[in-house]
Amino acid sequence: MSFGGSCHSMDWLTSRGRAFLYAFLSTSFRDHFTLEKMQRIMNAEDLAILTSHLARLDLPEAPRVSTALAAVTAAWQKADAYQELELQKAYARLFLLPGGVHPYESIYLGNQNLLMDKPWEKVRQFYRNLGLEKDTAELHPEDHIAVELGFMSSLAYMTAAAGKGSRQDLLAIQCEFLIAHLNRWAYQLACDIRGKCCGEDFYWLVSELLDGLLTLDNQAFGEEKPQESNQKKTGREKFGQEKVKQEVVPKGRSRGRRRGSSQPLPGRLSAKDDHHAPAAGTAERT
Amino acid sequence: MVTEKHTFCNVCSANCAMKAQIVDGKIVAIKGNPDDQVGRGKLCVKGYSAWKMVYDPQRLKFPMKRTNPEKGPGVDPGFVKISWEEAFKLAGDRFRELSAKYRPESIVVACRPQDFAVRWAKAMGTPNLSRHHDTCYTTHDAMWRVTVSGTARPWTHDLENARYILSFGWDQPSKGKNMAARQYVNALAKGAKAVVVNPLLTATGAMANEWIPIKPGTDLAFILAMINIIIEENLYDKDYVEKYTTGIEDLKKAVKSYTAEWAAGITDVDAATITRIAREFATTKPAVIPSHKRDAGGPNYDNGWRVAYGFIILNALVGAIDRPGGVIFERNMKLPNLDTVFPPPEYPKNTAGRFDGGEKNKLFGSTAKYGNVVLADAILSGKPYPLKGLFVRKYNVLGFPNAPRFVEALKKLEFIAVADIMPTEIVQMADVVFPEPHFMEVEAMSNRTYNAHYPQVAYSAPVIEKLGDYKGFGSIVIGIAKAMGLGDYFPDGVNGIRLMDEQLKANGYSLDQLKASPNGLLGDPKPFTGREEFGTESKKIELYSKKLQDNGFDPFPAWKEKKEKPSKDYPLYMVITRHAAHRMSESHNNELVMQVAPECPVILNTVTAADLGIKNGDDVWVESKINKIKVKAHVVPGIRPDTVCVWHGFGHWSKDLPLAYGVGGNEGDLVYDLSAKALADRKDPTLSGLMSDMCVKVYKA
Amino acid sequence: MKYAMVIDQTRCIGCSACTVTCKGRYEEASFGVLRTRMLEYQTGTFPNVRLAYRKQACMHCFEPKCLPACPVKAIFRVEGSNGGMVDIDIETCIGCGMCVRACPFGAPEIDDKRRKSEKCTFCDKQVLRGKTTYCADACPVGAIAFGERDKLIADAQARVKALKAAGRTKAALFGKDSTGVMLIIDGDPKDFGLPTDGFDVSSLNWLASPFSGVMIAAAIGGAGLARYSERVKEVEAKEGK
Repeated sequence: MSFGGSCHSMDWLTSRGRAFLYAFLSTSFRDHFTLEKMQRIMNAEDLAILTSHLARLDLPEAPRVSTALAAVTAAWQKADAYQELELQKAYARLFLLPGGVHPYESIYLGNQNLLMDKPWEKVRQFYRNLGLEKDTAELHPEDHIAVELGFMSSLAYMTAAAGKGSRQDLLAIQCEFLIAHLNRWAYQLACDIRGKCCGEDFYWLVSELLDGLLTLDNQAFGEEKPQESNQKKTGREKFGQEKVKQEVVPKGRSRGRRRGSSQPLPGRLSAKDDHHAPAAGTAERT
Repeated sequence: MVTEKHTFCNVCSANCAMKAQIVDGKIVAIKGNPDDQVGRGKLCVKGYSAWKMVYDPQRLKFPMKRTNPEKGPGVDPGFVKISWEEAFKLAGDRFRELSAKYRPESIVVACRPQDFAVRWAKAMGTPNLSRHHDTCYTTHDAMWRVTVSGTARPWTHDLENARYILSFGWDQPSKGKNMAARQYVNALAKGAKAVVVNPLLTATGAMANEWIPIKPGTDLAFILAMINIIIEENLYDKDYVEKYTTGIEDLKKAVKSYTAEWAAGITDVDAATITRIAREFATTKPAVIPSHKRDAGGPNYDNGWRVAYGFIILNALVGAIDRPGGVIFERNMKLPNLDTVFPPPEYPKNTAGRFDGGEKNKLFGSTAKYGNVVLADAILSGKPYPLKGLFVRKYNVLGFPNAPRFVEALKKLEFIAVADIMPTEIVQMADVVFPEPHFMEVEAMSNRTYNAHYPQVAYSAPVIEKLGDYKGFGSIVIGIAKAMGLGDYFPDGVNGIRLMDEQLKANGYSLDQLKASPNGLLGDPKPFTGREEFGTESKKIELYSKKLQDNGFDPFPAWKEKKEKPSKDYPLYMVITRHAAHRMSESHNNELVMQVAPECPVILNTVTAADLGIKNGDDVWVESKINKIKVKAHVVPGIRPDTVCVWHGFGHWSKDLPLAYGVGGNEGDLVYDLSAKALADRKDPTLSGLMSDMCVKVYKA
Repeated sequence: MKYAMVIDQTRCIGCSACTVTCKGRYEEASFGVLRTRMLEYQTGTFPNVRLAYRKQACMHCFEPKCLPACPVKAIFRVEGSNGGMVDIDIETCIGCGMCVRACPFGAPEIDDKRRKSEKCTFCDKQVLRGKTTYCADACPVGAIAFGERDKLIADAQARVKALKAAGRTKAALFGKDSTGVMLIIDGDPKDFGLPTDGFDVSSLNWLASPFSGVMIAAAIGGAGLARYSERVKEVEAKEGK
């Protein structure tokens, strides 16, 4: 099975930078902005790797993602306590109060404007087919944008850490999730968010980044649809086997694990910061 | 795989037991529980649609604090998500500061009676519990307390066994109330006769044998004439009256002048009809005048409490109180309250009176089932003392009389904490917001009151996992109290679950037993035996109340007119009803309900509308002396030409309720609120509001 | 067994419990598109006014006008219901609105968003599994009876007799010989927006021929037209026309 022709595409799809970007977006949608959190997750090294990767990437969307990433980075770097509060207000207005957007697949693809509608069932089933359940500490439902992006991020980290053999299956799952879920509603969500704020707002930039990342991934996965059968028949089993093999490291003890080593497979699905952001590596470095 | 969990409906206080059908953690439908004596296996339209609110994306999700000090309709509160600890600390600190700076009574706790909230208020040392009953049913509650029960009013009617049902504005069937509608329809099918006295034709009147469109606010005259006729013609139940009542002779003298002819001149109902109905009512047994809340005896008109007393007298005269086919005191479990189960440390003493002076009322004052009618004026006037802090649970701005003035009052407060499910108007005014779970997400127990023929409790399991970061109301109150340093009143182990267990144990059961009950209910049917004694000092029903007299009120429901009558400027009476599918304002954003009742019209008579040049569906203004609202005209023949009727409670200005925002108008805007002085001057022993005692004009928008 | 429903409009309180239950169960349709609705009728002049409700939904006619009107043959009689139930094959339906125009009861409604016709299916999937219809199960006042047709008719006629004895002389059972859903009404059918019993809707007969050209094209309107003609071609091809 192949994902497009370019080796650049495969570079991108298996990069830690990509995983980091999904994690960053998931975190941004999951909870409101705090300077402390941004400082923790947006470490210079990750950013530098990502930026240089994007600069070298031979995909049409790469420059747009680069620009958006730079803008987001600039926005948080110059944020002070006042702007922190303004961003928190913006978050509540956009994502917690009904005047904003409802960042749930159920709202976008269901026909009732209610949570936990059919699309939510489908997303949950997708996770379940891989043996995953949402973490009980995760307050958002399975079809919240933060959880869906968090899921992609987890898989992307695993892809980056995996050997050549298991990459294909992991990528097949991501591609299918993109096609079956994110592609169908996240663009519209990003568009709606942009419609509710102006061009310099943090969340305008974040949704631009979301739009860009999805487009980039779609370009990377290529025009050609991957064969779904592979994932359906073998993906689950492979995934399951890996899960057995992987040692699940409790959060507290994961500190000090080497960066770039394989991430623990999230048996519980969560969009929590700690899962996706390379907190372990950061801790080691500092 | 469908699993069923037992719960009960919490849309209204009937608490019909229901079974939620769950597929893989998601509610797919709800059904009635056939073993429940209240719902008997059915729910009403509100119950059937309640579960959609669980999945409403508009629900409050996290605690929030306000960052914009400016408040009001259209002002962005600048809410920011905060943690529960921060929310508790914020509310605790602010309430403690206000209490120290202005005295404890500057804080008002506005919510339905709830043990934990009452303890918290007492622990703070504020006497100010503000409640909605003065806009809802205090008239009935207080009159039953004073003249019959010594405690509260009965909520059960044995309509199914009645042969003659006389309604003065009682309209439960058309409002879809499950148990009332079922009983009414069954009684009629069994051949009972029903007469409905109501300016507006609804399903209740349409099904009845007679609809009598009486002039609004004059039911008292009709009732007094009936009392007179029944006593004069010796038609009353001699055995019952002799054995179970006092004061018949005094009453007889007092009502002598109230003839059918006199009443005809007031009510617009001819004397022969009044006489005939009086005779039919007294001679067809069992006969009953059912009553719920905002019927003619509710807190609508200046004479509301007199009508409520009139209902009691007429029911007593035909032996319908606590007898088969009549008005029945609920047979339910006697549950000890929080302070009995977990005795508190001594409460601080505070000699300050309430903001509305209600405690001066020796008949009813101690119940604290009033306050909302006066609250706006008390805040704005600063009399008798400044009010600075408010805690509100699920009372929306729109539910207060003269809602725009209440909003002005809220702006004057220094701190407002709100516990709610939806981002309603009161949430828009809040400084801190505590999100509560939907009733489908919590464990609870219901002691039956509506339709309680034998003691039975219903269990509510948490049907689904909480969808957000919610805490139950008890935990919210305890959290704030602890943050205020009042933790001694809420030591560990004092919580709602243990209270339930202790309450059941006092009745020979336990919470485990209730949880294990295969039908989610505990308590077996028992045969009915009527009361031999009542709760007054005389142990009898007092038809002529010395107690009222001793406290400076009329001892019987002497004639008094409603306050406001049609004038040149405001020529139309206004009455209020609502669609069966709505329950006040909380269902206005319900996906299912808004598909069947999306508008709140003003109902106008065909002739009146033609005179005003108004066609069905036109936008019109309805204007009272204080405000005006824009609504759609619904033109029908089934209403008095001198009367209009507005559906209750729309007119949301919270943009956070997308389905409800901007739809229709809030009739509460037209209703007058009262000052404490105006309330006292009314000489109303029930401390009630005047929810329909105004006139309006209607014109094309 | 011949299934039927009797809706006793003299018991009905117009609360819409049936509507919300039905919509809660059959949630595919868009907001506001309902399979069963509650209509209020007031007749007369004050103070002699009659108020009554009618549960407006598919009556499951024995000779459904919608069935021949459907250009793509999406409407069918449910097997095993002995003629009592009429359903729509939603996959085949193109939402052209011909059934809406043909129905003398105003029952079906077009869901513009899905371009599908939405109407009561008599809960056929429930009923054929031995269960009752959702609305009959929900009605808090027992105004909706579901069951075996002959028994229901006998009960309904007894009810009509009792109503008449109580002075409600206009009480009648509507649809006894013509519809799967019958109504007990107290008044003239026309006061409930109903055609006379054993209705003859000859004025609508032109709709029975689905391929009659310009008028129909105009009736369907722009958006539906392309899909409509496409579907017609498909059906024609399938049938070897």
